Amino acid sequence: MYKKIVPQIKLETYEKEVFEIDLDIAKKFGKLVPVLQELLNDDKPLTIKTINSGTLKKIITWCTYHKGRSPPPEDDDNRMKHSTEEVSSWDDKFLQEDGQAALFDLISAAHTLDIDGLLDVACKVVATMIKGKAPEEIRKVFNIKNDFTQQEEDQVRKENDWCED
Amino acid sequence: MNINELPSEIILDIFSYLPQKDLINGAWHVCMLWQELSLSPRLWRNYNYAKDYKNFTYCYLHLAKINQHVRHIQIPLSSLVACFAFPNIQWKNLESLHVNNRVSTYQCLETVVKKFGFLKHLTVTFEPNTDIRRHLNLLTQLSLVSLEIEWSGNQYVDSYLISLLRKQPNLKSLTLKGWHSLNDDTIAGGLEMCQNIEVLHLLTSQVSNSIVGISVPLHSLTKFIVRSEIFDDSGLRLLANRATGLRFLDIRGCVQTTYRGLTCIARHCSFLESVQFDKFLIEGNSNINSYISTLSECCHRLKHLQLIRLDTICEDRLLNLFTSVKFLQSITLENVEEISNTSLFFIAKHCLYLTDIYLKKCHMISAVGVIFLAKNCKRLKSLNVLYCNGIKDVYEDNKMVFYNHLIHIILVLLFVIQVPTSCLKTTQWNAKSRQWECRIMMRR
Repeated sequence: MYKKIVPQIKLETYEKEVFEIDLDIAKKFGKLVPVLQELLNDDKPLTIKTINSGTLKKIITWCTYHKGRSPPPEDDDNRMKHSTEEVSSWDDKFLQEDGQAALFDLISAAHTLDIDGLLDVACKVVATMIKGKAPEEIRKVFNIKNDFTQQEEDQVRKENDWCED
Repeated sequence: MNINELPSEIILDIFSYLPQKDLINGAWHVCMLWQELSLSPRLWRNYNYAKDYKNFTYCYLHLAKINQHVRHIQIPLSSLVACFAFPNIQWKNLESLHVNNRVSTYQCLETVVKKFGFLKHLTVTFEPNTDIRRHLNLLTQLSLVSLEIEWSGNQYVDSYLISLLRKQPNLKSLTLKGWHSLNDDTIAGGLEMCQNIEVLHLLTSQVSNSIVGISVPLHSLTKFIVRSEIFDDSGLRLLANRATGLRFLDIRGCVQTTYRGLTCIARHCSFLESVQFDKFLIEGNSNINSYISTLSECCHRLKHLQLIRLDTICEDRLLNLFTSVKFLQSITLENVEEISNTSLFFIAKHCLYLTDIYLKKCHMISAVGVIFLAKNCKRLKSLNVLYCNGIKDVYEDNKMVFYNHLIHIILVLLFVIQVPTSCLKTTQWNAKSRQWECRIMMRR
């Protein structure tokens, strides 16, 4: 039977698992595209140690889903709006379904692979998690340690006195 | 992975999607890393001052850290002046000031003008009963690129406005709101002195045709907005002759304009991208066909098309328009009796950049056309179909399926079919088919 031959590239993850990715999906990988095209005829996979298999699987799913969808035109107006409402519910659900740690792994991997579209929506999703919360709540949600020293808190008080003089 | 293990630039990206209120009250107090990042210049270039601070200490500390990053600020004038008491808060790099309260006292503005002689953009509203002459005089000390003044007083101050404009050779954008006593010749005289002007907003009620009846061409003018009941077709004709580089025209509220004037604009302004006019005001349908053909002949860069109340339109001309104007991004058709599915097929085939379409009371179209459009225009984000009689066939199977890329849908509703609003279940995500679905429950 006739089988369509699709050019594929090979990526090796942290777990030494090798993934074969169609080139038209890998086209989302901004700066990496020329590097990947070089490797196209090579049998050796490109090893990216900072990305684990689960994350790469997710990235492939995302790129496949968004294949053929061009990103919205980037202009200054769009950038200034800082809108977090434009995340589609598919993206929202997709990004949050595996919990926070996986989300940050995904962001970090999207950064490494230079996938602008994914990085943008993921940042918007995290921003939504921060919005409207008090500092104490934010620390709790993201498990962040309060590392302000007593000295700094004193300084706030000192400047306060100075202002009232 | 913890959020703080991400590279700083990504955390900063995340912060750039936060409202400034959340940076001030949230992110700033979380930990040392977040404090440092939340004070980054990138986040504070545009600063909208609001009373978001817990107390005065935080306000002072925060402003002291960010004020040198701010290029554009929105702030009440008194709050800005109050900052000058602190050596740490001097807004050294300010370029653009938007005063968001009404200015009545002279001293505040005087202090600001003295301090920021280098200001390039200014937006200010004056109290109606204030002595605006002194204020206008004061502003002559600035050399501005854009100026917006709102004032609803009645004094006769035209000569002061003229002398202010005379001192502004670099002015690119002028907005006047109110100004009931203004004489048309004043604006015309002002325009002759500011030939570099690119944007002109005249939101004053009594502007007549003579404002554009000036002797010099306005080559740089790209955006013209006017709201006046006495501005009419001959004004548009004058404008078309002076400002051949016009891109955006907004004449909502100009009751007397007709398609005849717009045809004139279309013929002379080949860079035209968008024309906005009011719903019920434009009469004289007989000229619509020549307007449409002129648009398709001359305005190949048109991005936004609006057509309202056309009984006598020839669909052929519309089809011609859709094939010749390649960059259409939004289409608004209201009360267009003659438009049929053929038009929608043409749009779907030729307008590859379409993002918004609004169809109201177009009774000849049917669901087949709308669905074809939704399927084929991949960039479509918003699809509004309202009060179109012909959509009935959709309701027969009680369901209309829409496509992934449509973010915003207002549907086909009410009126003719008399579906109560409560019956429309707005868009839902169908996980199975991976598509947006919009269901309409019918109870006959």
